Amino acid sequence: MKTPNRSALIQGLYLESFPDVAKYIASKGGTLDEAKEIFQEGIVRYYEHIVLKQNPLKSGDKAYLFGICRNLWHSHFQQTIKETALDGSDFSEEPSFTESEQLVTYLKAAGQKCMNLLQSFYYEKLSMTQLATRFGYRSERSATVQKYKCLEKVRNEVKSKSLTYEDFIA
Amino acid sequence: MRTSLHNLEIIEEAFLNNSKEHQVLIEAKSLLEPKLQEDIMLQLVTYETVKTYGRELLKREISEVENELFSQSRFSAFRQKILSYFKS
Repeated sequence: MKTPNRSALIQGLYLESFPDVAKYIASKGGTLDEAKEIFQEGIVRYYEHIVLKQNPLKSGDKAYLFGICRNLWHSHFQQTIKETALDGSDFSEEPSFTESEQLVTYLKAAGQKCMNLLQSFYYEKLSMTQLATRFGYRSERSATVQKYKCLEKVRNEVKSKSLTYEDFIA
Repeated sequence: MRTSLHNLEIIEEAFLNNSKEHQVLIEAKSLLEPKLQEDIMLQLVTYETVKTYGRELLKREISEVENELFSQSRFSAFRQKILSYFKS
């Protein structure tokens, strides 16, 4: 599901900030793939800081994104050194899926439309008006009722998998 | 809204939006509806799962944009600039 405004924001961030980040990581001996990986994670954190915490978006806020990526690079670099020291190899294992990621896979199969609607509200933080427009509901009220119906459906799916909250916090 | 949807709304207000009024209501309802505690836990897991799914979609969208920047001819100047940093 591609969202025009968000894709434009992401593209703007790449064009404006990726050259500086790539140059920095190259100067520290990193590869292009590592620079891409760091920058992708940096955008996720930048986006969540602005959208989820509802901080105002400052255009040209390059220094902030660069700072995130620099910190990510340092963490990545330290981790690589640690892993190399521990097992003598220069590669890390594939990260294992978290329980939440496994559950996402189940729930997408159970109902992608509901998952899309719910993430639009709870992750992208769309208003009820925007939600109604995106999913074709006649009013905010209809969208609100549908949101709770989807929440109930997904919650029941979670229950049907016999998964409890303790499974996730253990 | 029917009762089960109304309960979802009360839980959301109490735990996601930190409404004191709804938190008091939950405490009172819990005495009459023992199943409510399980519903609360399942709803909190659902929010966490939706967040994970939202992040997954965002990462996919970032990858799509990145692929466009590294494949389309109109971005060749950008691409060359990036690649020049990694030439040994």
